[in-house]
Amino acid sequence: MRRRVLVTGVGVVSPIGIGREAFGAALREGRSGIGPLTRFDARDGPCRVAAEVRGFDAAAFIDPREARRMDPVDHYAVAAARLALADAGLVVTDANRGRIGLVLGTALYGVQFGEAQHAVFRAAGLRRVSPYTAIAIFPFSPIGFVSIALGITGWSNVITSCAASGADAIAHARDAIEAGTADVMIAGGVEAPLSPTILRGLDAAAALSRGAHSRPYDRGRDGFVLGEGAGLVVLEAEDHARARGARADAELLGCGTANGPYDSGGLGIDYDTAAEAVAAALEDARCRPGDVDLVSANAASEVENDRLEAALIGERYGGACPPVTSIRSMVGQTLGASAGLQAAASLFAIREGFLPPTINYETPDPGCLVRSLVTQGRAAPVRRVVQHSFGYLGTQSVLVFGAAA
Amino acid sequence: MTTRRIVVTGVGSVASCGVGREALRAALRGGRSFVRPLTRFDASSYPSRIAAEVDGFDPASFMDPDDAERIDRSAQFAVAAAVEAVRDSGLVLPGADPRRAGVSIGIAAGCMTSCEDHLFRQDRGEPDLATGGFYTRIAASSASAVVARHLGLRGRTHTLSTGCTTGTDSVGYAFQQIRAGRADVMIAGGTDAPIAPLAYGCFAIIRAMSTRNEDPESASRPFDRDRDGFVLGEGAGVVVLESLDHALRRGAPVYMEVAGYGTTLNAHHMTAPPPDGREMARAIAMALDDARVNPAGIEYVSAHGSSTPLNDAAETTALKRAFGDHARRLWVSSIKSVIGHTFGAAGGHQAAAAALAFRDGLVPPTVNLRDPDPACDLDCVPGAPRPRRLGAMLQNACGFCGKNAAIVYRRFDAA
Repeated sequence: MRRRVLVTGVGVVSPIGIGREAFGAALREGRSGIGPLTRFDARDGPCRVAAEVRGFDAAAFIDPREARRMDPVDHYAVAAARLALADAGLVVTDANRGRIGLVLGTALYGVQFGEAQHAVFRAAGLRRVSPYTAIAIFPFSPIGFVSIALGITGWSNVITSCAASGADAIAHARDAIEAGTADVMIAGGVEAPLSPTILRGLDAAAALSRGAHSRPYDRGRDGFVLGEGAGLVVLEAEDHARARGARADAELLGCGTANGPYDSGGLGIDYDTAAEAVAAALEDARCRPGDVDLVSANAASEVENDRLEAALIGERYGGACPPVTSIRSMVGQTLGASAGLQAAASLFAIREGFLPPTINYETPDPGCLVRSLVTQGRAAPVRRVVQHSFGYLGTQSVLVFGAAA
Repeated sequence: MTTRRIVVTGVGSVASCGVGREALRAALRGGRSFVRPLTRFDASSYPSRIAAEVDGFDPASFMDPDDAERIDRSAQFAVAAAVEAVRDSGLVLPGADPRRAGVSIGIAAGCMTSCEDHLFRQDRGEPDLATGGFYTRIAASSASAVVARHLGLRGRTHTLSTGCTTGTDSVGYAFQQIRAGRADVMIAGGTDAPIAPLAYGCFAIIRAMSTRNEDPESASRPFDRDRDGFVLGEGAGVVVLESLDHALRRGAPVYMEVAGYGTTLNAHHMTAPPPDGREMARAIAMALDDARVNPAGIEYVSAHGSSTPLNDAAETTALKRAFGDHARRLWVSSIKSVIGHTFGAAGGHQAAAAALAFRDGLVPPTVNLRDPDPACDLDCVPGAPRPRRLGAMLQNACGFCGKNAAIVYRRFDAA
């Protein structure tokens, strides 16, 4: 008998809002998080827009002296983790800290700090490089900073599988609870990739939207808009949650992952692999296609990948396609944070009984049709959400969340 | 329901001691270190100028040169070690069902060699990586992805990246996937190519690395009174993990059984371990518990033994805490004394070395241990390897961010 894994809290730092409530309000309203790139002078660069986190005050979550030693990805991770724990109403104590763990997914981790310090190094030599570089630029950083901030000592890992990272992190966190090595796991994804080099590189790979928009499935889609943020959920063993009277609107029902071929640029999604991941997740969740109330799609406004996903959804659900929406229309492509933000959106949909819209959808593409695409947000009971987090470089992952009984 | 058992059936390695498993085997009994003056970039102004570099590595001997061109050095190492490990195992991959074989090769530094190269070129106005294969070269998941692609595997392919515990976590993760029935075969371990100006330099400036530049061969000296920091290395250590049933059915040679995995966080400090070793001891206890092995059943510990003043003493304390009186009977050695600290690959190299220790009945020494620190007063197998028919051992790791990880290995005897 598998130990049931409930979701008792969520923490969000996103381009459309900080905190569960603000994020939910933005989803309801269909707010766009895409705007001018302000993080650095982008005038000479190929790309002028991004989905930036706005109004984020690191000092609200972290001592400013500590914050200087971290990359923005660590700021987002600590903030989202604090928000998640507070949302769960969970206090860390000596008695429970060893049973509370942390698994994070990230694709590009401390790239901003790394790029900035490399520039310092080139200009002024090693002696001017920040002494905090070694703790800020590698993928391990966020679990270190979060665990110290929260005082948690339980099971942990960092998984990096491009845009599937957050889903793989959540799946691994679930395993820790099911195995009995943890009672509570904070899990999801974090990303702060808005660096000049990353944008230039993605642009050279023709991945970014030249039209400066995020319009999943739309005929005018021409690439993604890069975004940033952190989405973390608190996964909790049912017995533990009940014992402390925690509120849980949702449950993690299933996880599926598959690996397959990828093209030479690494940014294409393989149809069969994605379909396999969907099938594996539904099977793991014991969820039939007819049970699904919402598909939280991967679609990030990419020409080919959106098309493949539309076809996949059509094939999986046939004529009885559940509502489909892509929050990447609002938050852009947040890579490793994607699945975490999607999870927050899935939880919103379940809790509020509301389907968030796919915004910017103006012109259907006959070759990329999703007949049940949600273009206007609307109330509807949501008991099962399937979320697609199709990574690059071969790994595709899917999660299924359900309403907690 | 019987729990699945997992064994190691193949070993591959690329390290400063040479390319290949035999080079590692010879090095672990050879009694000397492979740390040398750093040559991969101009480190003449650095406080530390030594490293455990891989020399004479030709990716074209392992893969198509055009494919090799599109990936980072760390991914090239991973392919080489993975190919060797698979060949060693006798497995014909992808096998009957490619979805039952996956990859878990971790990396700690990320693709720093390529990233830094890219940034330097950009700065000089030269053609940079963005002109072809940008993402495949810089993504930390590229090593696992490329190995899966090269071998035609479609099973779960994930990359863990947890600093110095990466390799240990990656092997532990792979072990868990097979045990859960999600795979029959996992190519597991770690890789890293962090000997690049800033990647190496960021450790130099915080004095984490040895500055014994005038005597490189004796710089990596875990548990020794005169240790003064780790020496960064590069390479990949890969093992083939296989479900026991799968291995027995095909009559595979088994090196050892992987029996348990545990991990904890210190929640103390980003670089310094807490002196009481409490959470490291708990990770060890977790691994022992997972393996259903008694502390007294462990004979040998492949230590983290990074050769930093703080780590080696704290690790000794933690081992005493985890093993009590039995700690005095343990043999404890660090292969970092031979091949340096290979960062993301360290746990993979430890796994490879452990497999060889079981196979050869020979426990590797801690080299350069001439004057043991009184704070490191366990039996650290100084200088020379020791014969022992191992029953059970522990692989231990810890690192920046305060993570601790441990794996228990057990002898497997075919009935």
